[in-house]
Amino acid sequence: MKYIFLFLLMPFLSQASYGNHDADELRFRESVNITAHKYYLSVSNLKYNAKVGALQMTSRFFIDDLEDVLSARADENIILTEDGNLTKHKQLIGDYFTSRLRVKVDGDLIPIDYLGSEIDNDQLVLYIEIPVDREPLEIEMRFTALMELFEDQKNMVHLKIRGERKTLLMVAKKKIDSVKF
Amino acid sequence: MKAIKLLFISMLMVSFSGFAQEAEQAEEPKAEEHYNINKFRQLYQEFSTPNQYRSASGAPGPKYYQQRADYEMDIRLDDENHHIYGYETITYTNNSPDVLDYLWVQLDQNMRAKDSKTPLIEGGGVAPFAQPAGFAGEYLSEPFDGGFNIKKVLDSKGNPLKYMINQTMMRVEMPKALAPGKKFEFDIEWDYNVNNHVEGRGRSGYEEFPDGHRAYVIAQFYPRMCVYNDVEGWQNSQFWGRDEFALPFGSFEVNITVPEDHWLDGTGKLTNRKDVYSSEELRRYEMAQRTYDEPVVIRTQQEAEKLAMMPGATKMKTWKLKADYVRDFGWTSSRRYIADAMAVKVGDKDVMAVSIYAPEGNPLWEQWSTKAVAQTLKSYSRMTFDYPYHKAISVHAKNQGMEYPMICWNYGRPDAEGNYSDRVKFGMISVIIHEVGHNYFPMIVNSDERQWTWMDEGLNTFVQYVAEQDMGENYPASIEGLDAYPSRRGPAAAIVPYMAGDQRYIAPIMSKGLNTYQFGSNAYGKPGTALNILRETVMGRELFDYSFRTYSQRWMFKHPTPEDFFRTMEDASAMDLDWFWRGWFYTTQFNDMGIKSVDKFYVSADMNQEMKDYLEERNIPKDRVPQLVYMVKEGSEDYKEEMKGKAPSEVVSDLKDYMMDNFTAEQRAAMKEPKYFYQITVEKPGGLVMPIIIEYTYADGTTETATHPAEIWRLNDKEVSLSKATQKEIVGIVIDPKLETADIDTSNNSWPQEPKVDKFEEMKQ
Ligand SMILES: [Zn+2]
Repeated sequence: MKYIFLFLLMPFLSQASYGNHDADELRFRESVNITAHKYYLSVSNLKYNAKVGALQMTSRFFIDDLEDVLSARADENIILTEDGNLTKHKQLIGDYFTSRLRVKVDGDLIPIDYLGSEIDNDQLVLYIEIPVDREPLEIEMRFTALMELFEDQKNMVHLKIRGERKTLLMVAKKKIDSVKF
Repeated sequence: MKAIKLLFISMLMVSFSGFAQEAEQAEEPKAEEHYNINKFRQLYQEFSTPNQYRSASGAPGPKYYQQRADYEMDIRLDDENHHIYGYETITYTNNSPDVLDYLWVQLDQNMRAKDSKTPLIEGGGVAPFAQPAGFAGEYLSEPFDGGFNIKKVLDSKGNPLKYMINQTMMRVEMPKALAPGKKFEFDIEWDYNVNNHVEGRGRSGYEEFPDGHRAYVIAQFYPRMCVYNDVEGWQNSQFWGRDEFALPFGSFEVNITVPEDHWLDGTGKLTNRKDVYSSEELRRYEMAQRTYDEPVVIRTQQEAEKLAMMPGATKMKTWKLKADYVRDFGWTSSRRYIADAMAVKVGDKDVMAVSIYAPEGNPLWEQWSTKAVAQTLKSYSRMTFDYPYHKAISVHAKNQGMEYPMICWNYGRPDAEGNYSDRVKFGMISVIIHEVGHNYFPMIVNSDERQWTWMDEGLNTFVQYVAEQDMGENYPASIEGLDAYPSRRGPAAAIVPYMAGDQRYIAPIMSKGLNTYQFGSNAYGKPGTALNILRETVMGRELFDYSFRTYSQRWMFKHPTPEDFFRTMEDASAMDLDWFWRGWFYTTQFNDMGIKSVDKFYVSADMNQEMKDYLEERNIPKDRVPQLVYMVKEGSEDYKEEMKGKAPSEVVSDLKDYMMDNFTAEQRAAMKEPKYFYQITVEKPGGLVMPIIIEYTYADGTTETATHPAEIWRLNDKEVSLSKATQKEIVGIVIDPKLETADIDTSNNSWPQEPKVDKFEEMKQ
C-alpha cells in the first residue's frame, strides 16, 4: 500500500488516476502528452527461432511509464535513461516482467527468460525468450505490465508463427488473449 | 517467376525498361470485375463538387462568406467561492445567403452539469481497480455542480427571448427570421461554478495551492455562437468533452472584475493598463517592449510570493480587454502570478512574447517559456504568415496544454525542490510551442476542430516539429548535451509502431476525433508525420513550403475544409497528390516494401534462350534475325563467367559499328558504357503507395541514391522491377536507407540480406 500514496504525490501519475467517466480527462491526457506519447501502449514482436529453440520476443515500453512503475515497486527513484542503469537494474526489470508476462505454449505454462534491454529514444526495448522445442500451434498470454498504474495500458503482441501474422491484445479488462495457428 | 519473352529491337537502348513484357495469365486466377480501384485515381468520389463558395483550386470562391459574432461582456470572478458571473451582448451578423429561423449558441460548461450526458457515452464498464481519488470521484462524491445557469436571454429592448437548451447547445428564437445581410443583437446573463481543473480535469478551471490561493485559467466561460456555413449549415454537434471547437470570428470587448491583488491577462489588447499596473510594473513593461533578447520580469517572484502570504484582497479591480478578428476569448487571473515579457520582431512589427506563472513553475519557466514563445512566433510566421496579433501569452497551468487566441495554458513543473529532468523541460518547451502554434491553426486558419481534429492538431504538430528543430539551433543552451531538439513527433520512423499496429484500433485520419482510438497518434502524430514526409520526401521543401504558405494565407481568418487544404497543396505545386491524401488520410494503409530479388545481367552477342524460344514459337528461322544485343542473366544456361564486366561494344561488333557510324570520336570518348546490368524486384506487402528510395553501394565503396516517384506503382500495386545499368559493380542495395517513408518492416529492405546483429545472442553474453 505504501506506494499508492507515493503515486498521489507524483503529478504525472495523478493524471492517470481518474476513471474514464470524465471525457474531458481523456482529452486532457491527449493534450497533456502532446509531445510525449499520448497513449499507454506497448508493442511487442514475437517470432519462433528454430535454431535457438525459443520464441524470441522484443517488447517496447515507454521509459517514463516503466520508471514510474519500477520506482513504485522498488520504493526508490529508478532511472533507466542511462545504459549503465540497465545493467544495474537488470534483476529488477527481469523480476517485474517475469511476474507480469505469463506465456502458455500449446497448453503449457513456460517461464520467460529476460535477456536484457536497450534504450531507443524514449522507449526501452526488452529482449525476452520463451524456450520451446517446436513451433507452437497455440499461444496464450497474460501480459499485465504497467496495468497496475495505467488503467488504459494496452499491451499488444504481434506474432509471426508458421508464416502467419496475428496479434494479441491485452488490456486491464481482458488480461488474457490467445491465438491458434 | 514468369518467363519473360522478349524481343530486343533497339541496338543501343540497353535498358530493361525497353523490354516488352508479355505476362502469362494461365496460372493466375481470373480477375474479378471491379470499379476503378487504382490507387492513383482522382478523389472525385471522396471530394464534394467545387462551387461558388469553395473553388476547385482550393481557394475561397467568389461567393465565399462567413458569419460574424461580436461580443461585449462584463465578467466578475468570485474568488472565494470560485464562481463566475457574466453578462454579454452578442451581435450576430448573417452574411450567408440563407434566411436563419433561429440561432444556435454553445453552452460548453454544460458538459459539467449534473445531468450531463458525457459520462453516459463511456462504455468502459466497471474498472477493475482505481486509485482512491478516482474511486471517490466516481462512486462516493456528489457529482460536481457545473454547467451554465442561464438567467436571462433578452433582445436589445430587454424583452425575453424564447430559448431551448439541448445539452451543450441552446437554440434562441428571434422575433423574426434573420434575413441575409442583417444583424441581430441579444443579451445573455449567466453564472456558473468554476471547476478545479487539477482534480476534476478540464481545459478551464482553477488550481488551488497549499496556501489556499488559486490560479484561474478560464475558457469556454461564456455562451458562444455556433458556426453557420456553406458546408454544415449550423455546426451544432454536441460537446462531449474531448472534442474541441468550431467558432465564428468577431470582436470582443470584455471587462473582467477580479480581486485587486490579482494579475490578469487574456485575449486582446489591455486598454486600461495604466489603471491596473503599478507605475513600477508599467515601467518594466515599457522596458520589455524594447528588449529583444531576454525576458523582462514585470511582476517578480518576490512580489508574487509576498501577495501569496497575505489573506487576499477583497477590493476589486476591472481589467479591460479588446480584441478584433478572434474566434474566442480566454483569460487567466491569480494573485500568485509572476509575469515576464520580451519583444519579438515578426516581419516589420513587434509582437510581445509573454509568460505568466506561479512560483511553482520556477526555475524552469523564467528560463524557457518566453523564449519558446518567441521561437514559435518566428518559425510559424516563416512557415505560414506573419503573426497578426500584438502578443502571445504562455500561462503555466499544472497538467494542461490548451490553446486560445493570444493565450494558452501549458504544463511543465519542477518538483518541490525546484529540480526537473530533461523530460520535464522538453515536455514544457514542446507544449508551449504546440499551444502557441495553435494561434495559427485553428485560431486564425479557423478549421472545424470538432469534426476534423487533424486539421489543426496535425498541421500544428507538423509546424511544431519545424519550430522545435529551430529552437535547438537558435537556443543551443536549451538542448545542452544533444545535437538536435529531441522531437517526439515528426520523423517518419516515430509513427511506425502506430501504423504497424492492430487495425482494429486504427482509424483513417479523416475521422471525427471523438470516435477514434489512439487519438494522439490518429489526429496529431500521423498527420504531422505525413506532412513532414510530404515535405521532405515527396514534394521537396521548396514546393511544399510555397503550397503550405499558400494554404495558410488563403484561409487566414477564414474557415477551410479538408478539401480546401488538399486542393491548395496541388494547386500551388503542380503535383497530383490524390494518391497521397487517399493513402495517408482516407485509409489505414501502411507502408511496407522489400527487395524480393536482384538479378545481374551481362551483354552477349550470342542469341540467348529467350530469343530462341520466341523464334521457335513463331516459326521464324534464326538467320532472319539481325545482330542484336542480348542480355544474359547471371546463373542462367547462357551465362558464362567471362561475360562479367565486359563493355557492350567490346562484345557486340554491330554495336561497335553503330557507334563508329553515328558518333564522333569526341562523343564516343565522353560515353560511359555500362558494364553491369541489374534488375531489382521490389515487392510491396503494404497497401500504401510511396516513392521507392533506393541506395546503391558500389564495389569501390561509393553510394548513389535514386528516388522513384510513387507513380511507379500505378500499374502494379504489389511488385515492380527496377533496372540499373552501371560501370561499377554493385555490392549492396538498400530501400529507404534513411527511414523516411515509415516502412513498418525494414528487415526485408536490404540486398544482400544484412547479416543481422543477433541482439538476442548479444544479450546472452
Ligand atoms: Zn493541440
